[in-house]
Amino acid sequence: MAEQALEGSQPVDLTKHPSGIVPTLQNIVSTVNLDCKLELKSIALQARNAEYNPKRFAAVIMRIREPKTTALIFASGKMVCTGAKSEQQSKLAARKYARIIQKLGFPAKFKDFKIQNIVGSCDVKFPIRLEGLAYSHGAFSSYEPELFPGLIYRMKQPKIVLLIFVSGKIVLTGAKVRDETYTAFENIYPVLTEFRKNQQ
Amino acid sequence: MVYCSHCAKNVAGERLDDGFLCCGSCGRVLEDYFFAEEPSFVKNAAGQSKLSGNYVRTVQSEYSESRQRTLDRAYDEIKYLSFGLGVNDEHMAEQALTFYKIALERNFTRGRKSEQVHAACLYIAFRHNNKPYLLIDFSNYLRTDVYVLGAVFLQLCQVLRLGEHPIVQKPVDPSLFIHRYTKNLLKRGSKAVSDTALAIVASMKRDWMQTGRKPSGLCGAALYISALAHGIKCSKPDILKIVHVCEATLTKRLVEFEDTESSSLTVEELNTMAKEHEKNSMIMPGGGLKGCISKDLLCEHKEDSGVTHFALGLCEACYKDFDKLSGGLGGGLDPPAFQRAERERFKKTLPEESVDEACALANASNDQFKSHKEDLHAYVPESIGANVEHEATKDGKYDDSHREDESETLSDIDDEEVDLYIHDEEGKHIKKLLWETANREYLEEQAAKEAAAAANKKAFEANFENCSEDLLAARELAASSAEAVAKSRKEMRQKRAYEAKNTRPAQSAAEAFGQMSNKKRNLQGLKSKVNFELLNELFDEMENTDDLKKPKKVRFDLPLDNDDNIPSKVEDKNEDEMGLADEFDDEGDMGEMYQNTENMADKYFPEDGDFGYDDYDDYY
Repeated sequence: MAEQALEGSQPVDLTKHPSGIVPTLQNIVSTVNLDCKLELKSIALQARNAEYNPKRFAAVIMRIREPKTTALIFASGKMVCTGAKSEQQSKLAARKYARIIQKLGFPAKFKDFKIQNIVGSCDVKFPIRLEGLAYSHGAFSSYEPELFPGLIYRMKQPKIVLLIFVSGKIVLTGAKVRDETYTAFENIYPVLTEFRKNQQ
Repeated sequence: MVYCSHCAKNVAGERLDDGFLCCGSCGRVLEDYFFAEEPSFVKNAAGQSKLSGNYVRTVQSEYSESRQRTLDRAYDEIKYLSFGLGVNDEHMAEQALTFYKIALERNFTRGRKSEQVHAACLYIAFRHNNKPYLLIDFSNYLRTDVYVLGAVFLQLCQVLRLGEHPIVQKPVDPSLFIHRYTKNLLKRGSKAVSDTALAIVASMKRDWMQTGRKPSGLCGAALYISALAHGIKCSKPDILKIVHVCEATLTKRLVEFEDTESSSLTVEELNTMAKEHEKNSMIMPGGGLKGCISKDLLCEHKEDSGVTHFALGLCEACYKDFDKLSGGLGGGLDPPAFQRAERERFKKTLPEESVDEACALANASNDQFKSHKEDLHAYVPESIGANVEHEATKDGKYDDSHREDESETLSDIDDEEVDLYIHDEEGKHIKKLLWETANREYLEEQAAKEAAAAANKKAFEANFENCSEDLLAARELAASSAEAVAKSRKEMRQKRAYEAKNTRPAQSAAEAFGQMSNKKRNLQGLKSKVNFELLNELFDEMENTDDLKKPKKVRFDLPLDNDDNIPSKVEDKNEDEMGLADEFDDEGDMGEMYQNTENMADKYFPEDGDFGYDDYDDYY
């Protein structure tokens, strides 16, 4: 996917991404406060795209098609929006949900929008010997193949958690700003090249 | 043996009936006291027997009794767990207890099952001492989920700060488990099978089959191949029972090994290759140095001054351990996960033409996007989501800055799109029916809760009414008490009036009171006294001679009353002929009056004096 993005649109900014690889954002979780009490049953009955099962979960689950996201809407007026691929899409989706709530007759506002978590992923395209990473960076690593096939790397600065797999795929999670994800990947990339598989 | 000063040597002391310690030879008394040394038991308040005395805190332990009891129980549980898994070494239990003490001090056991904490502590001790046991073995013994146990283990490592400590930094080596699994499979164990299995595991390491895989799966596959190669008949279920993996995993590992070059070798060739690789491992560090980039020491020995960097941020000892454990960074096949990823990438690169067309379409829609956002949404296909993301990201900044001006109101959102998500009246009605049917239980629970709330409210009101009834009773009680008070007041008033009547003469004239009282009493008594006295005197006068005239005159006035009585009696005698009966009755009356006279004589005397004075005045 990264290659397609590179070839398709624009060259990578090597000053910002010296490794030549840009992590792809996969999921963004954001929260917003509608600042009014909501009657969840009436919302669920009036909206086509809403489901509400109070016995299972005390929030209305609402989905929209574009951007393709899912929202949890609570009676207190708080809303959680997940599934967006960029910060702007997350905000646009949250505003659409707020507009739907307004149309249903509630005096909804749009306050305190905040990105809570950004999940990114990328592929370095070479095998990684996870045991070596566990040996040399033991203070930050947790590698228990009996429990999880990847190595869990808890980077301190920036505070990002990386999941590193032998296939070369990396998952970065815990960022609140996009640049944190990029910085974390640029920090770990030299270490990964150190433990890559030597060619015959 | 006791020392006897008389015999000047150690002798066997004897205690006779009187309890003295005497010399067996000369009989000298060595000790004249007798202390009991046996333990004695007393009963405490709970009725339990307990050893008499107290533990001296500084000598026995620094823990309280309750904490010591907890630690003793933990030690017993850990020891049973260790013995149950087949490790009959108490040092493991002692080491695990040390970890448990630290966890206990940091309140790690709060909110967790103690048996899981025991198991996690023992697992850390096993890891530290290279005991061939996995979490799945503890999970199987305790009958709990292995991932629950794993979570406790990882959290315990955080609490004990073992992340900074080399205990759990080194991953588990699958070779560690081969001998144990072979013994479990073949009862007596077989060195040939174990050696071949170890060679197969080493080959798997070199072919990158180990990384990211559970050790038990690799051991199961290696053991299965080795046993079959040595002619031992065993089935897959036998292997699965020992290594605790499912059949699909075992099959997958076997297929992956089949793809490697080592799978086509014979047992002899495999052993030969293993020996060659052991020799070649000495040469590998030279080759490994080529890929080295950093010169900093990163392993556990980085704080030791004498240790120098060798390769990959490791010292020489750590690098050798790493190379042996993992198989090194050298050749061999790509890991299976990487191969799958490569195949997926290859499949993606096949439709290059369609990708080019998609890019062209994206460029075309990019031009339209600048003028018409809706057209962009219509034209962009889903297959090139990355481009859409980048375009949205690039232009989204501008849109975002624009939207920030109107962020308070949501008027910029397309109403037509929003209206699609809202039901009309018919839709609302239908969805309401469906929703109420689906959530019938919830609605019934809500109704029950409301009914319970109403019942509570009614009960509260009923209690309030009961309070009013109590008030009525209280009022009645107050009224009755008021009536009682009024009655008592009336009685007191009557008593006071009565006392007032009595006290007025006393306060004014005591003498008058005395006279009045005396008069009243005497008046009553006078009648009986006068009658009797007069009668007696009258009879005495008739018997006695006439000596004094004056006394006779004084007595003459008194008999007026007596005369009234006497004539009546005389008339009675005259009228009734039965004289004896009348006389008898009169005599009885006389007797009674005579007795009364004795009692009244004292009272009569003062009145005689008074009466005499009155007559005397009349005489003058």
